[in-house]
Amino acid sequence: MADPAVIFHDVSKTYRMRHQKGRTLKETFLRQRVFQETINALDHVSFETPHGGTLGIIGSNGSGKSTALKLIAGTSLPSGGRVEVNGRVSALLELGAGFHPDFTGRENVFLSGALMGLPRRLIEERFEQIVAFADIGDFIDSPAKTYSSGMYLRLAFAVAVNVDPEILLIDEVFAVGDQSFQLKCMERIDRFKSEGKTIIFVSHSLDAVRSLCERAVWIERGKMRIHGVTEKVIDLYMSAVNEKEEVRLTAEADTKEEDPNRWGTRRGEITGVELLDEEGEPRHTYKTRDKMKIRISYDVKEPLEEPVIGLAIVRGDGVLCFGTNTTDTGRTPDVLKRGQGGLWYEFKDLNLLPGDYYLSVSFHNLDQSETFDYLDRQYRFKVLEGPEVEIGLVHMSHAWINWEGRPMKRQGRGRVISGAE
Amino acid sequence: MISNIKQMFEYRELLRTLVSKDTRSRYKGSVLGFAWNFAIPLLQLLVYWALFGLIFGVSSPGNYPFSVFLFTGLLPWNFLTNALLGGSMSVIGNANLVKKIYFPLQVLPLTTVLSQFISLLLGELVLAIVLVLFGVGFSWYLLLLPLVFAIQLVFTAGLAWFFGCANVFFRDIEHILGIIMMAWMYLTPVLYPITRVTAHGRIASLGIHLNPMTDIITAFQNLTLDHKMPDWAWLGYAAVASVAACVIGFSIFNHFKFRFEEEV
Repeated sequence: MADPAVIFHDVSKTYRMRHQKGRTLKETFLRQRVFQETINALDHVSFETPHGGTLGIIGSNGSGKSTALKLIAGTSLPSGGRVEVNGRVSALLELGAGFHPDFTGRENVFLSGALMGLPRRLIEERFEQIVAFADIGDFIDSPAKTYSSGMYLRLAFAVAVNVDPEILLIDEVFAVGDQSFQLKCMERIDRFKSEGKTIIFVSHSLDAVRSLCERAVWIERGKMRIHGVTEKVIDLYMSAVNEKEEVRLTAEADTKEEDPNRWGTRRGEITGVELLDEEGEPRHTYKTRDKMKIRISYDVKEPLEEPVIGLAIVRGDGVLCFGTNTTDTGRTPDVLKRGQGGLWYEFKDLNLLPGDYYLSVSFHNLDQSETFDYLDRQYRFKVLEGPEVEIGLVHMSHAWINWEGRPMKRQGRGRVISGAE
Repeated sequence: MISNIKQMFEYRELLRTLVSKDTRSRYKGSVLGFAWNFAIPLLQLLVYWALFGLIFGVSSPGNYPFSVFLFTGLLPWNFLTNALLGGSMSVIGNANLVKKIYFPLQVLPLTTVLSQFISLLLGELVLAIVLVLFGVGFSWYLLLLPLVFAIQLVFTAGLAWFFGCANVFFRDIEHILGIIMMAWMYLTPVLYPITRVTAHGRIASLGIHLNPMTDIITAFQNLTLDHKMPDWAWLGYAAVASVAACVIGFSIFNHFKFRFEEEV
């Protein structure tokens, strides 16, 4: 088919924000002004996607992604411009939105089908298929309110994907549900893709977008930043996100004050800890396997015997990832004289996987009977998603080798199911 | 307008499902369940019979007890009231659907109207039994009832679309509608025979007949109780007014429906 499946032609959507929903008659007829502000959810956005195309829409929260999907689904009309949709749309905007908790699964399947405008006959034909996909067994004849959230979700997804949509809209449905469900969803969506259906996918998970979509649109505060090949769009998006994070973490580091997470006799004081990148520039955002340098400066108020400096990396959720000190490595000097000084610590490969991390630095004597200065989780840094797709805590050096004994090369894009960022 | 009607026709399966859901879930969880559809009109009749028959001893306008007269008019009146109160809530009460799923929203008020209409028909079954018990009996005139039902259905649907839409933008509607319905009932010959008003001269007579519900309810009373033809001129007027109300209500609803998603 030559016609594009979805066309956005200079589309704008403005919402009026009010503190209270609905107007009262008094406000309208007495022309009282309610506090109003307009929000440009979409601002002159144009793009199109052909039949059989897969388009990802990315952007930070509140950027207008979901508004775009609503316009395609038809639940909302644009304030300006034109949205053209050629083909039957099945929207996974919110799974199970049309379910009635008092109704059985069976009744809800028919209700959902009717909400999509499908004839009963079609649903009857697909019923077995839907139930098999949902995998909820005898629960199909129990009221939906007795379902676990997973069962609810599976049934809703099963209905949405088993009705032959020509255009499938997906809004971050993988954030919920367990791994095996996510896997099943992804498989089903892959099948759609291979059947030449059009898919429009909104997600925060760049991995998912990367693996599913050929092209992507990046929308930021309602404005379209770029539309193009997924890899390129994501690269540009990522570098913008990194920049923003860097600014924020730098500002945070600058405003550091005295707080209860620091203690010690201060006979020797840590006067500065800086995180630096390969070039020696201060940086708070890294990618897995980047080089990271830590510059520690101290001020010794009176001579210290056998002082030890240690550091530890703790993940945001409190997991201790790594810790070491100068004793362990036999580098503790016998005496440290009065005055200022410092040392470097260097990670050749920062093997941490994406996440939020804190650095603790300690300054104490050899048998740990006296702590001079302890800075508990005072320095924050972030490891952001890199090109590799791995899960867990750390990157471990590895190789995949096929049975012929040859190392396997990386081909195409890896696919990842996890919605975690 | 044609496309909006066509759309509704394409989604007739949804309308059917929603009406059946509405009808079945209304009394869900209660002990009597579906039987409430019959129990409510019966209990109502019992109250009127006790109040007007035993206590006040109001004289009837015809050869039937006053309570039967009341019952005949109240069934269609209750249909109107319930359909409009429900219809005014039909859009905002389904906010989750309106926001998340694309479908012709005009089915929502119509769903309420149709499911209340089913209740009306069930109530009429109770009335049929009452007619036999009180010796009023049946006549060929009853065959004209579907015509009157149709006129009222069209009228009610038009108003339900209007109030369903208006309540999205002005939440006051749902509060004031109860009062409006009460006042309207007193202006309609439900609790009193129409002769009480028409006896006061041409102006009074014209005034009460301009209310389409007057013509609809008196037609019900004429056909079921008096076994005579309705006032065709006024019933014709009511039919025209009903179609007008329906067209206007439907058009207003469809004109504003694309803003519902933002407002609910």
